Amino acid sequence: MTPKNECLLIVDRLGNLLENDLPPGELLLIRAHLQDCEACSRAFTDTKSIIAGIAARNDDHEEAWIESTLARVPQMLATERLPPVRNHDRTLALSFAALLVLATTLKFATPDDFAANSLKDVPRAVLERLRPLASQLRGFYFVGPSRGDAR
Amino acid sequence: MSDDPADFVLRARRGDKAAFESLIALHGADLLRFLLRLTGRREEAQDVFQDSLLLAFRSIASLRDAEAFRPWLAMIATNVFKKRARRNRGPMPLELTPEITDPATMEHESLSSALESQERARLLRAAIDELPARQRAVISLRLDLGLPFQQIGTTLGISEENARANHYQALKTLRKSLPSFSRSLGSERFLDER
Repeated sequence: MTPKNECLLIVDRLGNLLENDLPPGELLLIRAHLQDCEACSRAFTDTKSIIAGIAARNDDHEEAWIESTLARVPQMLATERLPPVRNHDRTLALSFAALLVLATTLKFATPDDFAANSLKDVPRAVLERLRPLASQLRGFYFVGPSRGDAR
Repeated sequence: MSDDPADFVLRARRGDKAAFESLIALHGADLLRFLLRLTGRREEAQDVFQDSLLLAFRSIASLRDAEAFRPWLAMIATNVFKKRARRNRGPMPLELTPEITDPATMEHESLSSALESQERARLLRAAIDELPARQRAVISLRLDLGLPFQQIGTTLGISEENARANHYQALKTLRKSLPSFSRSLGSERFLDER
């Protein structure tokens, strides 16, 4: 490899070198090259200085502007109402309810219903099945356990 | 009450506005630097920042990973910027006017170094403003927000390799456009420092 080609490869890897993103073997080779090559060493110093310059935050006016903008954040959000809490529990409950309806439909629908492409009797069948359960629950919540049970 | 940023996210998700403001106090400065580099104009950066805040505030409940607030916020800001740029249809004008501190207000001995520092900052800002938008974004996401390349890729909707390539190209261009930058800084050689 000619020295110039080697230099091109080295300069290509300067960013990785600064990011500590090189395998140890390659790191040694590049450091050895930088030791001997004035041009690559200068390119490395330039890159490093540019990165340091961007990170330096030495623009006083920019920093003052950032500070004043951040000071206005409460004001920016003042008119904003609390974010609508996306209730994952509610989403889960609705999904579960939909699944339950589907499962119940499949349970109470007869093969004839499907064959006739008519499921209109299914809700009535479901309600009939649920009625005893509903009356039991109503009795429990509104009347409470009977005295006989209590004894 | 915990000062853990992830805890702020959890509280903000429950509608705690103060927790959200604490998050912005932590990440807002870097986000503003990023937006300033992206837009090239303070006024535009401020508008994008405000829109991004409101959007983030409204949708923080959708943020699943509390640790990922920073890249998530950067992604929202990038999308807001893209949307505004599409609406405006055209390149954003660049604000390259240097703002020099009034020398009369400065101590005499610090005047020279402060002016030199401001001049370097101005040169660098001008060179960054000349970069293509994507390279500007990658450089700023990497150096101002400290995001890894994988997250930079996600934020900008490009691959990690593409993010790396843009970073490389940006540094290469900056090296070419600022040939005397390191000399003006008086930097020592890297190998001497090690």
